[in-house]
Amino acid sequence: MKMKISNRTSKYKLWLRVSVVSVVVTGYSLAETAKKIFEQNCMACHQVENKKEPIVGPSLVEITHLYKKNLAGFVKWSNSPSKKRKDAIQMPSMAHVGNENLEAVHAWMLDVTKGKKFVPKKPKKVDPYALNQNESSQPRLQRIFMSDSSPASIAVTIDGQHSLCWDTVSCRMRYVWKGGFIDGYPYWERNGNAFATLIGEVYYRAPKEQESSLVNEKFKDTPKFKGYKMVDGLPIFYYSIGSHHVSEAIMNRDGNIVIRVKIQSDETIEGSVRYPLGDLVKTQLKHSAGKIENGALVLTAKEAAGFELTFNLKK
Amino acid sequence: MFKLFIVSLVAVNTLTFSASAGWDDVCEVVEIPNPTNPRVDSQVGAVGTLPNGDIITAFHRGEVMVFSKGKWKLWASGLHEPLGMHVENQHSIVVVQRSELTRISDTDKDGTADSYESLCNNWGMSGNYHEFAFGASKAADGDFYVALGTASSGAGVRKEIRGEWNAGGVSAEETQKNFINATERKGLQRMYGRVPHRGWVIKINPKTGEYKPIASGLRTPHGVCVTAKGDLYINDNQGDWLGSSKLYKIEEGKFYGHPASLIWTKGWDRGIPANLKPSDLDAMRSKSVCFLPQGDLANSPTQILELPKKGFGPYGGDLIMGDMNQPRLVRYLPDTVNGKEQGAGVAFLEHSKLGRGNAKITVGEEGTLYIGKTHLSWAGDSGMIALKYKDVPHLAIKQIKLTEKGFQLTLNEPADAVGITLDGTRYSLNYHRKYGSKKVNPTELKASSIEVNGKAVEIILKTPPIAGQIYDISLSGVGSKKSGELLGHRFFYTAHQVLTQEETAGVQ
Repeated sequence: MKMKISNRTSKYKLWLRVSVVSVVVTGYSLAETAKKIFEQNCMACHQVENKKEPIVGPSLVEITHLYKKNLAGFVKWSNSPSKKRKDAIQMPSMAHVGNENLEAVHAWMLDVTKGKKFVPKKPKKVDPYALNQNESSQPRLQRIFMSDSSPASIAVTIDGQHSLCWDTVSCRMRYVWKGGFIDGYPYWERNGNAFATLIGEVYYRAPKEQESSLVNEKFKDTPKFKGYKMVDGLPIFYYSIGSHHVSEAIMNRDGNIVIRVKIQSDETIEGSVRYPLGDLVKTQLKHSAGKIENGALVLTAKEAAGFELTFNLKK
Repeated sequence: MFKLFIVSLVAVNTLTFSASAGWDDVCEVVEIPNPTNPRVDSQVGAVGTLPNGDIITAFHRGEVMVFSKGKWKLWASGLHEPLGMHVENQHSIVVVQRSELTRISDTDKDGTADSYESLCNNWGMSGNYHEFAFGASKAADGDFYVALGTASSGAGVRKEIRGEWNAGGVSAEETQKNFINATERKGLQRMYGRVPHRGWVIKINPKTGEYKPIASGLRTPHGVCVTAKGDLYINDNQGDWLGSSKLYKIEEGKFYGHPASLIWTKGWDRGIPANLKPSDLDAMRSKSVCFLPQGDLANSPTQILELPKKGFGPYGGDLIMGDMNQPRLVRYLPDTVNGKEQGAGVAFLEHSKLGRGNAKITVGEEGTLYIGKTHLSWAGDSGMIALKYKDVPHLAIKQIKLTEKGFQLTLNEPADAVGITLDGTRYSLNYHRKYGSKKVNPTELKASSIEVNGKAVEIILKTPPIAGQIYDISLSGVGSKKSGELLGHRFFYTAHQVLTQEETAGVQ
């Protein structure tokens, strides 16, 4: 007898009953018989733990959870099943298996699921305040915890599809992505112990090491964020590097993200101004001035006073 | 003048005052519909009143909307957990968000904000969820007070932080590993403040963007209020080192008890502050002016507001605050003993429909408080209500003074009681690193006499007041034929100081 039975008395009676039928008929042990019945009649839809796709019916672990102490209920359901899950297919009747064999399957099921605990799948929480289609295609700015940037970062989308993360600590665009904006629900549903989820693919990241978007021999000060103005739903960011006042306007030009940089200086800028660039493998980058040299857009002082960078995902 | 002298042990039937008003008679709750265009998560982070009387509200997800004549209109958006505001004028507000003190303005006056000017953004942020920034209470000199909450060991810190990391034996990197569901705290105390100036109240100069750290020892200091007199009051949440929630009257340079913030004291060289002996920390700290006992009065006190003189009957000018967990507001009644302020907390406007989560309060039209609710996944609620004070005559406590032998209460009107009983206990709370505190040695209070003399109620206790004790006292039978029984008959007085010389070693 291989079965391990917890409720010895009732299971023993069951064993007696079932064994008479199955052993006589098949010559198999009780467990083998039950397993065979399961394989022939149930396995197409029921797995032990529902680990493999496709998942059709509830797992044996879940069925055991429901019917462990309700053998009669299990037999009754198997003979004339109804439907508990709206989207599931209808289970056919197992009346042809016979009550004794169903009882054997029940006992076998307890055995194979022993030690496995049923953990109900939590339904995925849906944001009750998710934006509708029209709202989510508008330009939008949201301050929230963003991954791979400082805790004081700003997410901006130009059209709900093409978006960027702007960091108020280093005062620069940190990365650009395409395919959506953010899902802030992981943060908003609780108290902020989560980043917003990015929707889409990040195709450009600014280099991590630099402290500021603009590099010049004389720019010694840490950039200082001053705020932003909203124009047509998109921001113009303002910051200063020492006595140099910088604005970065985020714009939508035919679905491309344009960053228009302007520098106003109280003192003359000497030498070139570099805008260090990240990996451009996936990026289609256009620049209105300067030239790309050694991983940076290099501009003369005059060019740096006003230039544009246009980002898109390389086709 | 009617004068009555009663020995409390003598059983006297209390007089039933026919016209007694309850809180439901004294105020009225009016629900405000949630915005529908756009639909927003209606957890409220900040509220204010515009000069034209409209109510301006900042919500959890960063929308700022104006409530005018029964309708909501979107005014600004995109903020990160706004938790306080100051209204500058009809077209400009100052909001404190997680990362910044921001002036939001509608510069072209088209009815929608277009300018978000960063007034200060250089306090530390580890990215820990519990690092809330509260306040934006304006000082007389034009500066703003902001109180910076500490981080919770329920989580670590982000890979990128803002500001210097103060290691104190544990690196930012070590903490980062444990960010979500931190199982090992690696030397971090329950609440920690390893970026500047967590656990401090800071004073921000909006012109320079620089701030000055003012006082330390705070944990989750939700309520920040500068009074008309210029005093700064801050309340703090029960937790580690706080036996219960408290109210502080803040003085520059002082430490108020939660040790995490001490690490940012200039010249600090004593290691991890929470590892110091509690007795050493106790000697360093300045005490609260009032405990807000957990469960009995407040669990998580919120915004503090000074009521206008007009429109709130006998309560005009009083300091009140909300609470997240308890369906009531709390009123503070200050006293001065031996030259030091301390006082009592009393339940206020405890309307049966008030509900929980009363986080943010602003005064609207005369006699009306607009209250915004939030929960941020803790106890609380969402949405807004208007709480209208009704001019229904009732008997209220105006003042509570500690005396050598007990307490003297001043009422708003003369009382004419024939039977007064006192129910009460005194106890202290532990000052320790553990979360909260049990009531230490609760002792039943007995009155040897309670005398009513016009507006004054003189309570003589059998045992004179003892320092370091919280007095939880309920009176019944105080009333007048005209105004009925006393409303708000239970008070919690914090007796750090007493007038006798027999100071015992009370813990708090």
